[in-house]
Amino acid sequence: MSPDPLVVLSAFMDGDPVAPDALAAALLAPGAREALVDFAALRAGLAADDSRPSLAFHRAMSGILGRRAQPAWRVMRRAAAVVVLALAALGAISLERRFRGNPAEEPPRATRVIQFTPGVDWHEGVPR
Amino acid sequence: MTIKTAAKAGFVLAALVMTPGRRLAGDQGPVARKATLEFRVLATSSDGETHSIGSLLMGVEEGGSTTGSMQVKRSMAPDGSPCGSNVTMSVAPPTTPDGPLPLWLVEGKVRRAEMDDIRVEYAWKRRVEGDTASSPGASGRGEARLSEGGRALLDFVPAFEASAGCWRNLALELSASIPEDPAFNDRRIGYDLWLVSEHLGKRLTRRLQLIGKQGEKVAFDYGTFRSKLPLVPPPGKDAYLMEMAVTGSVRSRIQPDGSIEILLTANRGAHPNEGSWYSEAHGSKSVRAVPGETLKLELPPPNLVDPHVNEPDTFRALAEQHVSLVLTPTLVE
Repeated sequence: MSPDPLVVLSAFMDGDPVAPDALAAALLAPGAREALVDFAALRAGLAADDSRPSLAFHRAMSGILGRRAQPAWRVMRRAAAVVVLALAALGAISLERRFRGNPAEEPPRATRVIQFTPGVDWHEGVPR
Repeated sequence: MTIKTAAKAGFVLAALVMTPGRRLAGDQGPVARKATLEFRVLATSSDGETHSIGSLLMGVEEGGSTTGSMQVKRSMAPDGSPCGSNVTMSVAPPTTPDGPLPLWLVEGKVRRAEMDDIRVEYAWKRRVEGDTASSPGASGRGEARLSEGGRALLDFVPAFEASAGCWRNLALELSASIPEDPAFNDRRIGYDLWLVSEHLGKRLTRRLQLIGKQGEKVAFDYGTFRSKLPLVPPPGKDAYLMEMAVTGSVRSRIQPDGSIEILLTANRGAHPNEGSWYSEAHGSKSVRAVPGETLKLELPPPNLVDPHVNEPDTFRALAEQHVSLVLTPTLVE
């Protein structure tokens, strides 16, 4: 079954890839020339039209549609995602510490340094 | 120390200082130290076990002395056995001996009463019924240096005659302790205790968190530390590995002025992973600290004590290994 000549020509005008045989057949189809001219005219017309909806239109539409509040489940889902990400980050830090050692595991700074004196309060051998 | 701990420590200190009726540091001179002397009679029963059958406890201030007597007698046991014991104790002037079992007259003078270091000058006399001037019984005197809970055997009497079939022997022993201040008897002290080993820019730490009651001895053991020494490895090995073990104990008492009196004992042993020698040394230190204060106690390096070990480089390398205990005592609420 051969493709519709107008569809092939429209695709060609839009820059989509078309098979050369299908394009050749479509160009030979009745009304192909008129169709190509119509497509070109439509494209040119759209390109030349720079009209935009007015501010009043925007306001009127906003009033009609209103701003839809975010559903609670969506807020909850986002909060849960944040918690999961935070836990994952903490877990990664903990794992790193476990494997690399914790540099923060340091004793508190001493305010007094006391030395054992060999022969006085430090003796060789096992305690009696 | 966290701000919370510091605040707590400060509050406790302030509370102790403000407690009415307690003696404050420096306001009335030092508090006299006291020891409790315990003269104890031991009996070894005919089936082999040794039991205490009577104790004479006396609280004595440092420099003070006390006397007492202990008369051992046999009595009927509650189960009807004739091998019950009865020790009559008295601090009054001694009476004459009653029966064939010993009457011990004891005297103790406290020379020193410090934590785990109590020195007692003692004297004892043993008398039995029938002693004569030519055979006055036995006596002894001496000085004992006792740890808290330590004991010294003063006299030993093989049991003949009346006690035959009940006891094999009787003995007199002395022990001493430091009486606890009732105000702090139920208090607990926390110990945040770190072992730190620094060698060639590397720092290894191990931490123990302990709790002990007022006057309670708490033991610690950090297990084995392995370290690589910068020396030629033994044949067939990749490195010269040294193993070190640090153990010890800590005992503390909260003082009326709010400070904590601490006695820390430490034991450091070292030996090569592939070697036949072992070096061990120990020491004890008595210090006072404010709750929350951090103390660093540096342990001396191992010394070459075995003349057969010829490894001067090893001991030089070990001298570069700085090992210390970092202690923070706190009051447990």
